[in-house]
Parts: sequence; structure tokens; C-alpha cells
Amino acid sequence: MLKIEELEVYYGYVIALKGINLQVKEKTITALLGANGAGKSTTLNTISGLIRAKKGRINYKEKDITNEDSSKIVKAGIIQCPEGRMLFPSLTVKENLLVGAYNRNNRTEILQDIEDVLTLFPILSERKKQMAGTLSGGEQQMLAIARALMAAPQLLMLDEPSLGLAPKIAEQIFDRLIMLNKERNLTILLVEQNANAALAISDYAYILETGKIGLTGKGKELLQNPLVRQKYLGT
Amino acid sequence: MTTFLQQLILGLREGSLIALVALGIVMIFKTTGVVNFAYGYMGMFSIYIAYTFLNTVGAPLWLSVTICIIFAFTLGASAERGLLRQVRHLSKGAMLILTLGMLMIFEGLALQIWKQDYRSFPNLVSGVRIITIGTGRLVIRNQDILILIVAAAIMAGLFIYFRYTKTGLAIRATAQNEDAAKLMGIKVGVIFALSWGVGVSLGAISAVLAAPRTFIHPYMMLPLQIRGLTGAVLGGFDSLPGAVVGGILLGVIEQFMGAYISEELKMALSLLIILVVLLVKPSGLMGSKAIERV
Repeated sequence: MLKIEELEVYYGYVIALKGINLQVKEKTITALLGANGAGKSTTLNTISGLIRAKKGRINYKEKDITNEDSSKIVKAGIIQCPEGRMLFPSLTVKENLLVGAYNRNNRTEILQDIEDVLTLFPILSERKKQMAGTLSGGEQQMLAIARALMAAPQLLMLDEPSLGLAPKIAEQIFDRLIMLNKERNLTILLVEQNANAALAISDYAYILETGKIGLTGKGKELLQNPLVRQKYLGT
Repeated sequence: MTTFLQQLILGLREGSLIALVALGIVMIFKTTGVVNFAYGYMGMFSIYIAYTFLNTVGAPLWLSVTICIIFAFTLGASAERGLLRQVRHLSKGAMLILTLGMLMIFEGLALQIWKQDYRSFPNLVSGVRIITIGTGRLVIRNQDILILIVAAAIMAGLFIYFRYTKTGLAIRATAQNEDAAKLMGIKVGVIFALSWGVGVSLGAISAVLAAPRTFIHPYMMLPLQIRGLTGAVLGGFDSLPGAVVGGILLGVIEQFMGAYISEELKMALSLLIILVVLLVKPSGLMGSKAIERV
């Protein structure tokens, strides 16, 4: 579905991605792991069109989307749920969801989808009229995912959804992701530092090491890989 | 009693004009993160367009004013698109300096084209109402009533626009988090140009409303711009309702200072009051605690 070839990205003169190759197959959960500064968020932001690629290609459904405008990427069906949630703090929960649906026009469908994501994250329906900035960390993460879902994406990219959350809440979020993937056939590209949890739920995984893909393989195989265990799982 | 009412009405009129200016400044600041120092001068330049159409071309007043507002919108939107967008990636400071540069350009252009002469501009509505209360009399100009109505209508319209329309929501979202707005598929460039367009139009509208009394000249908007900025600071600078409240309050305070204490000291005294307010409440009357965009 998504195919990245030899992608190179620079911040000024500093190289951030040194020609990475990556594939996300339809209906899978693909994990992108790595330490701080390895280039995970850069990869997502380049796909989303926030950062420009210097070299390489990003293909989505056989179409070249490299360096397209971010609004076109969203229209094509790729949405990013960014690191640190990046909600609109002084908009209500409902308004945040409406912004998520910015590129859609069918009002009845949008309202239906709001009801739908609120059943997916019931805690949010109690907070519907509250400002997003007043929510707890876990609720904010749920809202960020719900807002991304409002774009009716085919590919959902999540940047560190478990960051700063209590283990129990993180588990809830991962459960929801599995459900979205299995029951609704949503393709997911998951960036995580929590390698354990991410590998356990992903079909494929890539490990980024300072701008290059180090290891790649099936999620459960990597979980057993001694090198990965030593470096990323701390055992 | 009648003096009090008379001053209150005049204060409200001045306050409405200040509030319109403050509203435009705050709107541009909120969405694009830059204080537009050329704001008043862009309004001034726009009203010269109305003046030219009215007197040189001989167009009717309503048409000249409409053209002036459309011109202001285009001027604001293209200044954002053509100039500020180019230095956006550098810093907010670079954009600020650019607006100062624009101030000088518009001042110079106006001086070159129309010279320093004072030119008259008609009231949109003429006539005076006299209301007798007991032994006193209130004198209210129709133009002043119009100013109050126009300001109230614009404020209500903007409120509805921001609260209930899709573009309004997109503007609010962009103001709060530009990158997140991009990720949601909002074309933030269009939003920036739009708020500059609307903001500068508000400046042109206040120029049109104020011109019959200030006359048209290259520096006509300077006092309004300074008071608009002050009103915006008083209101909190990042809050649109704050800009309205701060602007109107400033107008009324100034008027009362002028009437009851000293006409010469009215500006200084009102600024003193604002200083005290800000010492007690640094975020302004309705501003959020931390203003990040500077």
C-alpha cells in the first residue's frame, strides 16, 4: 500500500534519513522502532508532507506522493496522529473531531462517524463539550486517535501513542488499535519506543538506527531475536 | 446627567472604532503569530482608494466604500501571500520587521501620490438627533449611531463565523496548532491569507467610519492604531472578545478623562489606568495565561 524507496531527508545540512526503504502492506500493522533521534518522526512527517524529502520516492497505492502538499496526503487517505498528541487545546472535544473531518463534506456521515468514534472511546462522549486541554493524558491520546479516525483514513500513522501514559492506559490504546486493524481492516503504521508492546501487536517491523533501517522482519520473530532483545528490550 | 450620557455615547463611538482596529490586529496576530505594524497604514491606503473613486472617478459613495473594502482584503491577503509567507520559515521577528517595512512603504506611497493635504470624506449617513431629557439635551449624530451598529454587526458576524462555520473552525484550529492543522488537511496558507484579508478589511472599515472627523491624510490612522494596540493589550492580545472589550473600555475611559479631568492628559491618564490593570493582571482582561507567539 505504502512503499518508501531510498528516502533521504535533511534538516539544513544535517542528514536525518540516509536512504531508507520501507513497505506497509494493506491491512497490516507495521511497526517502526528505534531510539530517540533515529528518524522515526521524521519518516512520518515526510510522508505527511510536513518535511520535504531531498531524494527518494514515497509511493502510495502506486502513485507518487513524494513532497505533496499535506492536505493532498490527507485527501489520499493517509492521516497522522502526531507525537505529543498536538490537540487543539481550546477547542472542545467535539470541535477537535470536526477538524479531523475537515476534508470531508457529507455532514450526516461526519456526525455518524462522531457517534462511532465516541462508542470506540466511551470516555470521550462524557467529555464532548469540554476543552481538549482539560483532558487527562490518556483521554487526550484517545482524542488524538479519534480525531485522526475522523478523516476516514485508509492508512493510520501513529507517532508514539503510548508516550507518557500509565501502562494500563497504554494497553487499552493498543487493544483499540488491534481492534481497528482486525475488525475494520485499517492499515496501521506504528512508531514506538515501547518496542515490547509494539512488536507484540505488529505483523512487520522495521528498526531504525540513526537514519538507516537496521533490522527488519515479522514482529514476533524480532521479539525473539537476541540482538533486538539486548538492544531494545533490555533483556 | 446629560453630560454623562453624552460623554458615554461619544466614548462608545470612539471605543467601537478602537475595538474594530484591535479586532483586526488580534485576528492577524492569533492566526499568523505576527503583530502587523503596517495595519493602520494599510487601512489609510485603502481609504485613499475610496477617496479617488469618489472624487476623481465620480463613483457613488456606497460603491467607492465597497471597492475600498475589497481592495483592503486583496491588499492584506496578497501582503501575506507575497511577502510574509516568504520569510515565515525564518522567524516571527523577520515577519515583524517586514510589517514595519510595509508601514514605511505605504506611508511613502501615500505621501507621493496624494501629498500631505487633509482631504474630506463624507459621513455615510448625515443628520443629527437631539433628545431632550429634562432640562438637558443630548446631541447624537447619525454617523455615530451607524458606527455603533456597524461595529456591533461585525463583532456578531465574526463571532458566528468563528463558532459555527467550517472555515471559522479551521482558523481557530490553525491559530492553536499550525502543524496539527496541516496534519488534519487544512491548507494553512489559505487560512493565513484569509485572516490577513479580513483583518486589513476591518482596518479599512474603521478608516471609512473615522475619516469624516479625522480627515484623510497619510497619518490619519496613527492614533487609532496606537489605541487599537493598547486596547488589544488591555484585553489580553490573544482573545477576540478581549480586543472588543479592551477597545470599547479604552474609548470610554479616554472620553471621561477628557471630559471630567483634562483633555490634554486624557491619553496619558488612560494609559496609566491600563498600566495599573496590567500590573494587577498581566495577561490582560481576557487573555490566556501564557502567550507563546511573539
